[in-house]
Amino acid sequence: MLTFEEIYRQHIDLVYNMALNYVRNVEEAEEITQDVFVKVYFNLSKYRFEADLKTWIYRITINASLDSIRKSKKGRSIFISWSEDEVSEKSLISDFKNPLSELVNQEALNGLLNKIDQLPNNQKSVVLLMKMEFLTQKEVAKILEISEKAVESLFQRAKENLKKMI
Amino acid sequence: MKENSSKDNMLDIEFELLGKAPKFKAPDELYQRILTKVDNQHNVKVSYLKVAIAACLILTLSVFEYSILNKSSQDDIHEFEVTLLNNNHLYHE
Repeated sequence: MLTFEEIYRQHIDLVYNMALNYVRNVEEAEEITQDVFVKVYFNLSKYRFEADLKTWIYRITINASLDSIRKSKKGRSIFISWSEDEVSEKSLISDFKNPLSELVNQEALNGLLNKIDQLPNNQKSVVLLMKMEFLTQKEVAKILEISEKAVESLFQRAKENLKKMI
Repeated sequence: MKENSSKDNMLDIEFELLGKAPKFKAPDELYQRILTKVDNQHNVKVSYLKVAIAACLILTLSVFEYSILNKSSQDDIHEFEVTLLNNNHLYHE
């Protein structure tokens, strides 16, 4: 059985980055991360298996992020774009390798994230989980508590919507 | 048709980029902040529990007191009735 600290160390980057991908605001992401782990602390005994725990942590992170977006829909002003000074270099776990393409990549990434931001919540979740977290349809279905077919259809619709925005 | 396939390609490239998006490290002090929050919530839960236990105790005591008072007054009435009956009986004798 894992201790709370071990669970925290194993999942902190996942939770923090998921939250950041949703709210794109450092303070909000930190707040969400805190709420998620407080919830984990008080419900730890319910999740004995690590796979269940990870799925559940993904789920509560998504729900907390969507709640946060709902609450501060009008007040979201400090967006993260990956090139801003707000996120210091030392806080980066990974970075773009090629400095020449870095600028172009950052621009494109910010553009895509802005487009993803405009998708309905369920489509947005599917895209982020599949394309940023590299999860399979089966895993996404389990996290979002929907069928694999529904995941596929949401992904197709998200793609269509994103193509319209190109 | 051609435009659609070029958009498809563009989206594929963008998705690839999404997978390579930089990951950020959470601030180190976050763990301590979480523990403080856990502690606060724990204290709030304990306080609620204390209030609930106190309320239960007060309720139990009130019911107990009421039943004792009620019982003693019923006993008094019963005693009075018995005396009255005895007196009545004596009077007729």
